[in-house]
Amino acid sequence: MTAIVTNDLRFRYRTEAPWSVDGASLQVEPGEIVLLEGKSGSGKSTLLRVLAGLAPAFHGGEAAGEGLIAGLDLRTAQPAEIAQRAGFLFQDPETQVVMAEPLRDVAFSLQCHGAPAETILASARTALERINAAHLIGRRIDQLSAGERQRVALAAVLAPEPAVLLLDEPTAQLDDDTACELVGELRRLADLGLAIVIAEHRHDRVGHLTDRVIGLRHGSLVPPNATAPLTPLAPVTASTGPPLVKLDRLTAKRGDRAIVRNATASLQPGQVAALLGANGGGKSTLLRTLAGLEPTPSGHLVVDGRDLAPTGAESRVPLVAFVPQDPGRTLLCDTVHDEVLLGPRTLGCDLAVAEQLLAALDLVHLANRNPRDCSVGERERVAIAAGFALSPQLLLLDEPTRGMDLAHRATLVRLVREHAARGGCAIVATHDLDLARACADCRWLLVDGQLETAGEAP
Amino acid sequence: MLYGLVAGARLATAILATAAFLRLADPDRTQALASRVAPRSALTVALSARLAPTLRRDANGLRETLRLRGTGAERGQRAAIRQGTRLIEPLVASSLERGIDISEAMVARGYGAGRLTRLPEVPLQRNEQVAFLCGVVGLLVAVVLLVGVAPYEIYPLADPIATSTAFVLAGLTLGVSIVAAGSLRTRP
Repeated sequence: MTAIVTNDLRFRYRTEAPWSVDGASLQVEPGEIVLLEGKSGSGKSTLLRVLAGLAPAFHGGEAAGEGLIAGLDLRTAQPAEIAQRAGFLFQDPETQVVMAEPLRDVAFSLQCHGAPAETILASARTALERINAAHLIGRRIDQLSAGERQRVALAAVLAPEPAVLLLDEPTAQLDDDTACELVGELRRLADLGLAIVIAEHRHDRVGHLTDRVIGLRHGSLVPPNATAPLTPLAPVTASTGPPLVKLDRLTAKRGDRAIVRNATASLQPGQVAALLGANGGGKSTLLRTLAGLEPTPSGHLVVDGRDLAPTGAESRVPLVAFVPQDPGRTLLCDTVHDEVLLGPRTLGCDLAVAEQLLAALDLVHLANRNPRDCSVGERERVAIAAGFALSPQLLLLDEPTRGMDLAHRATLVRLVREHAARGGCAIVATHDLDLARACADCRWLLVDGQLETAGEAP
Repeated sequence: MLYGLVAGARLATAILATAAFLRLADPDRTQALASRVAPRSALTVALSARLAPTLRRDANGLRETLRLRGTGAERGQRAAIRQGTRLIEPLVASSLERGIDISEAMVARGYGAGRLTRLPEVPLQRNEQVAFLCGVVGLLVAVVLLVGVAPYEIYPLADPIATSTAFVLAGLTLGVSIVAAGSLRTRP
């Protein structure tokens, strides 16, 4: 039996709106891994939601055409019924969580699939082990890093071993080792007969193990574009004078625990550092401390000659701007335009810069839209534009490429390099080595709470 | 104005009482118990279990965004009120979004397809017993009030006696919940 068959499948969120999925005719066989490729907002996540039966059930809108998934008719089957045969991984692992603890959360999937009670906890543990996440058992999910949460979400989807897997950016927040293991595991499952559809911008991670690539443009299935890695831009010649940014024996804490100890490093004007390290290694904690959102228990952060360690975030802007991980959840304004201009208006920065950023990050057509009606990638770009719009001396970006297609990643690289060319510094925490190579000229590596620095590009 | 205050007080009491309950009882076990005795209400329990922590986290995140946009530098009570007011709309939008998210997540995991395995649960701990006892007593009081004293109205009027009674009862519920939550060690 073919795992997925659709014929002229259509979906739109509002009547009169353009179709978000427009006449998709698709066939996926058991054992096949299909990669969906397309720009942010091209309809990849929506197509996966329609295949999972979640749209229009949870999002309203209008569906047309026909489709079968694991033998179930999309027009008549209930979403929970489809979920018994097709596992769905949400783009944002935050939205996937049902329980408060990893083992219970994975067990919940097995409970919903009617697995025998005596096997559930052992199976849940095995699923977490397969995804390198057994050490998270017993911790609170809301206190895990984004990458750790993504591992738990993946384990919860894989545990019941459904016939079809629909995965929306499964490696976006995973470190390289875990992503590599996940992709190997997916290939193994496909070889056992599972059909897998993956929407993923990181072709470098999954492309080599997929059987077929399908492109999506404005909701329509099209032949895929050839993808190329990000081109590193010419590095800016860093000045040889005093450093613009200096970390001096700085400690970063999460709660009562010191996560990063005695970090010492510096950046010359025009230098960009890629902050690398495993999931849960303290990258976000370090950036939050540098931004002033966490207190600095000891050590100094000097930017442009000022010691910022005793000050909070509100006193550091616009000298320091921070785009946190998952910024789309905490946008404040009713329109994209107002969101990007909020900081510049408050701080008296040049509004023209903000307007230029809206154009550079392809947000003009969304300017009057509520950010909550935007896709994950679009929200990410809104937050990035809001960060750049402050024209800071030190820009901190935490995993900025989630949900972002190659073209927008290239735009981000260009913006970072232009920021450096103006004499600014940036620290980019990322698992995306392609991005790190393209935009950074030095590497900061976090290992066991110690910051190791290296001058060469990552 | 009075009507708004009463409605707001009711909502705040419900949120705080739920938060106090969940400081004592493990949310996962509460949800599992609800799935067992009232499967269709498990979503409500799941939403309630996550309401207070996620509201707090979202409020923190939004406050951080305000600081990162440079609007957190103002000091004083008026500035605090202005900032607090500014957070209300995105916070409400965020909690509504999360409501949809969790119901979608539960269904995407297969909940509601009719085959839910029950996991053997360890016996309730002392703090959970207190929480559930408080919950049952609160429920009984609510039923008695609804049947005998103040029947449920979809669009209640702001009657002075009923309003005062509601405030007193809300205060008592809250007080008991906070004392109970504070006097017992919470689960990790």
